[in-house]
Amino acid sequence: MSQDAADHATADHASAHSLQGTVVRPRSEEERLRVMEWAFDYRGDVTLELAGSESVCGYVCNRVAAGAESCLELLLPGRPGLLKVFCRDIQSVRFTGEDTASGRSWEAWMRKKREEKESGGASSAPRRP
Amino acid sequence: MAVPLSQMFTVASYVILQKLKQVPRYPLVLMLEPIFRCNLACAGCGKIQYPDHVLDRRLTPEQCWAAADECGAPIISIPGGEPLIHPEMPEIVRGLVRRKKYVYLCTNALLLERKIDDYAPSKYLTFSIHMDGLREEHDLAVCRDGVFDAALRAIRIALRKGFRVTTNTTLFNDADPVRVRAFFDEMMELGVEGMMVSPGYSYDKAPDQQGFLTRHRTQQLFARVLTDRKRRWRFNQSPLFLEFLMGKREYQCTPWGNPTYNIFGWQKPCYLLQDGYAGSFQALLDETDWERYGVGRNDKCKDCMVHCGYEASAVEDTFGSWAGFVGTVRATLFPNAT
Repeated sequence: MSQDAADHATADHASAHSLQGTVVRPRSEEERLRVMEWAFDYRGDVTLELAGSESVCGYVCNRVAAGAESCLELLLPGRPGLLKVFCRDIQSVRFTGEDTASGRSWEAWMRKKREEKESGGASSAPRRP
Repeated sequence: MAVPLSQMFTVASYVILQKLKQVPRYPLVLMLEPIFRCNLACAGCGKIQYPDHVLDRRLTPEQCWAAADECGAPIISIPGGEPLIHPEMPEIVRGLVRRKKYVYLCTNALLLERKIDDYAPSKYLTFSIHMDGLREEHDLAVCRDGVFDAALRAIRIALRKGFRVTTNTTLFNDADPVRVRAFFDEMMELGVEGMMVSPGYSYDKAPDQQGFLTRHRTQQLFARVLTDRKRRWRFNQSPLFLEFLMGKREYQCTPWGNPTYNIFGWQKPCYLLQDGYAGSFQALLDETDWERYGVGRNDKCKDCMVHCGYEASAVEDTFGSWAGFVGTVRATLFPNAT
């Protein structure tokens, strides 16, 4: 899913792929709540486009589901404390920061161990897949 | 004896007091996470995957002490991240020791040799060294060669300086019971006070998603590891919890037993799941829908047998009935009895 695409990601898509680069513009309350969960679950910064063309970029560290008062709480780079953003004000969620849980570091480590094994290196073979 | 008598007495009297006061949910171990940044990126860890500006944040000593006071648990475990990276960690520990909390400072030990003189030996302070097995297994699990040897060096130094030292070991689905037993032998030869062992939790943020154990495989593995236990092995955990891991006992999770406090607040519902945060410990107790969690209640809990959920269940069993108490005495004195 590209960053340019104004997309309506499905739950299946969110669980199977990193959301990095995705832009979601919720069209219903149900979608808004779903996207709120994704933003909370995402291990990177997100950019929230708010009503009135404002936007904020930070890490969503909490979400509070409370009907019309539902909100996200963000940690913003370089600023102390939490910023509370009401979900009703969110026009779009862009998953702009690197997905730090993408697993790439693990893949690189296993590649290194495989190469060591193939070249007859000192280290032992990886036993986990 | 793996746990000093004074610590046993403190925990026992605390639990009995909670029972006398009929407190329905009480904490046993505060999981205090003052920093998420780590100097390793272990395959099975789902704790450190955050943007840099989040990893740069840390709890202040005052926040740590306030959490300890508010929660009231007699034991405080400080995992991370790597706590020794926190520049104020010695001050945090001193404040907790002053409060007579039994502190388990969980570390991969890479910085311990350099920082050990910032700490004073105390019966209240234990360095809990992360060791996931013998050299081959440990270095593979932590994704860096040489870490096992560095940890061994640090353990020897800490013991020589008079610190309490335990090991904490997470087992994954590739664990070889024979080598795990050899690892226990090696740790005991080193002279550590006791060992802690637990299956890994299948963090959905961990890099390696294929190494986690299912419930049945956990029981099979631990039965093979812990059956015919050597007398010299000492475990710094409830003997009933070990029986639970072996499939000899059934427990439901006690997520409030090990509440977690970190830079985001009080984590709902437990150390492993992140289902939101509460602003205070009391709010955590009051706002969390505890019935949504545990085996048979939540898909994310179905394979979890981790100590932070079940060790408190085992302790509750010990003090909750005569059968549990007698079982604990029997499992302590005769660990190989059926």
